Amino acid sequence: MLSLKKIIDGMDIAFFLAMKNLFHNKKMLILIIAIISLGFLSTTFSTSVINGLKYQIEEKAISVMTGNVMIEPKEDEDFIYDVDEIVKKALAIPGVVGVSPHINRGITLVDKYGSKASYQLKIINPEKEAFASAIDNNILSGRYLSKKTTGEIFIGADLTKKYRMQEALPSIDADAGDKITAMFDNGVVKQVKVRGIYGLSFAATDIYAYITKEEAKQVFGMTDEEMDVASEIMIKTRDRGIEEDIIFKLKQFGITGKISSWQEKLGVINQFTDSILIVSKITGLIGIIIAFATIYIMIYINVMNKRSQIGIMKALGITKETILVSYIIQSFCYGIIGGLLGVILTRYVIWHYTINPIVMPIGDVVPLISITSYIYSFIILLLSSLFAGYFASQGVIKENILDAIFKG
Amino acid sequence: MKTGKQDKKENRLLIDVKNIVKRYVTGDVITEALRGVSFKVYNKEFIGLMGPSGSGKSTVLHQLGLLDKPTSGQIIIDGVDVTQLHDIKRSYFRLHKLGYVFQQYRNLPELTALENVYLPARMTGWPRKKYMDQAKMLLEQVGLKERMHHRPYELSGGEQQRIAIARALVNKPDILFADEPTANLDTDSTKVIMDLLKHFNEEFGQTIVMVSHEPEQIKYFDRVVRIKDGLIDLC
Repeated sequence: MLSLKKIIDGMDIAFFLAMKNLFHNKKMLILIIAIISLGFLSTTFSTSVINGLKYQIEEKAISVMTGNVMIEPKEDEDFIYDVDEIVKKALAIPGVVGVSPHINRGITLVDKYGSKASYQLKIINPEKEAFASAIDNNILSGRYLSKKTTGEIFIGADLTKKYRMQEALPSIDADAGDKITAMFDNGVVKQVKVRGIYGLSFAATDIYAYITKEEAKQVFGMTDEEMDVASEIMIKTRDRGIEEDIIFKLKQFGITGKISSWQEKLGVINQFTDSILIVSKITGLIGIIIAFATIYIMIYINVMNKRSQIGIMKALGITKETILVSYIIQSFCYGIIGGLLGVILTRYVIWHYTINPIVMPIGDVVPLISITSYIYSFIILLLSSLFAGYFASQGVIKENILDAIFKG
Repeated sequence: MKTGKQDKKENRLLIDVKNIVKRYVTGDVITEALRGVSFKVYNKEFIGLMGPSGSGKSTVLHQLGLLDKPTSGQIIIDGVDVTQLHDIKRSYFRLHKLGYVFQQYRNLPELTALENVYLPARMTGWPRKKYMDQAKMLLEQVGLKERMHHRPYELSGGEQQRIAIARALVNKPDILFADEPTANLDTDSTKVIMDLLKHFNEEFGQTIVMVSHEPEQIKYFDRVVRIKDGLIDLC
């Protein structure tokens, strides 16, 4: 067993040799650190872009399709009743910023050329909807609905030839101000004017048509009392992450029905974004493997070039454990310096793209990365550098002294 | 470093080499480099190991310097059977008891002359002042005080070999081994190195075992052990 003093003395020499080795060839040092830091940047930045993309997709879906929390009818019922009461209770919960009940129906729109497009029709109170969704902030043409609007309709871009993102669905040739034929699912057919077209550059959100309750009264012949129902109630919260608290409080208020968070509602979209995250993790793994391989190769080349010197050091009485530790320290330093520089570079690039978001077909994407991800990537990089240093050098260091000196 | 003229007639046995055999196996070919070499080295002696090329003199030095292990036989250094030492104890034995000078200097290029010299002393755990003073004193002794901050590649062959000698002596070893330390040097540098070794032997009582094939160096040695075909040449 080695005494503690011998271990400390060995560590002192290991550190001394590592520093000398590290800074002896400054060009090599800069090259290795540049490779590691760029590897760190590429890994974390691609992850941050994917995170940003995922966030953007979720935000759009939340802002039009589900809200942060959605209340739906009980399983054996078609509607939620006493909606005004529920809205009042929900709005009283801290953190809730908007509550908008929807009555969902079906509608087919026909343009002047006879082209048809079928929409899900949402009957809304536009003022409430404006607090709960983002359709009023994403108008591509025309205007948003007002509470008293009748004879007009507000439609999603994806079913119009002019503003759609994809050509897969049937669409109509209509713009704001155009008169079109609306065929409601109760058989009523009437001419309506397109009041506005909204679009969030996301196919899943831009496929709805909206009319006011005033219009619905006329079309469906409903009274105010009959209007106090909803197919769904969309609840918008101030921040993400408080959904479970809101759901808990809604239940405490005695609100029944199916209450779900956006995560539960966005099943397919979650599958898609989770798939993207898997790609992101694979990219990260590849980045770590590249960093590991880089450090391994650099240390291995270094050690192979210094076989003779390693033999000499052993001949002088420096233990092979000390020499091994010196190479591990060296590669650890590559990891630390390269990693820190990588963090700085990544922070800079993310800062740049936060100010100048990346323009993607889905909209402007801001890269997102958590501190935890930085720490995780940094720790993985350091561990990789430790292992790379150990595995790259241990074989050569075990070599017979004379072979190392005279064949190295 | 001991000081003052040393008494060369001290008869303390320092190295006892007993019938060492060294065989190298390459595939089916067995080469017997040493075939039973025995001799003794006493404290403060300056021994010359001489013999023709391929006679096995460097192989003997490698065994004595613990750079290699004999196939059989015993090497007792200062009462310790070093052939029985395990790896890490061999390292520490080399560090504390032995100094080694190679033919091709073998200094570490990333270290300055001073760093090269104090490296083994630092490994022993000496305080910084002690190993720095010792290294500087030795560099002064070998005439390189003014060049202590130079790196090996900035120095001549003779200067590099003087660094190697200072490095080998920094831990005040019981024995200094030198493997043809002048083979790569010109006549002037050779004289400087040999005079230096003689100086350390005579002034400080440093025991030295040196491999040489230069007959004109015999005058430096107290005694010559001749090796031929892997055996002590008694002629």
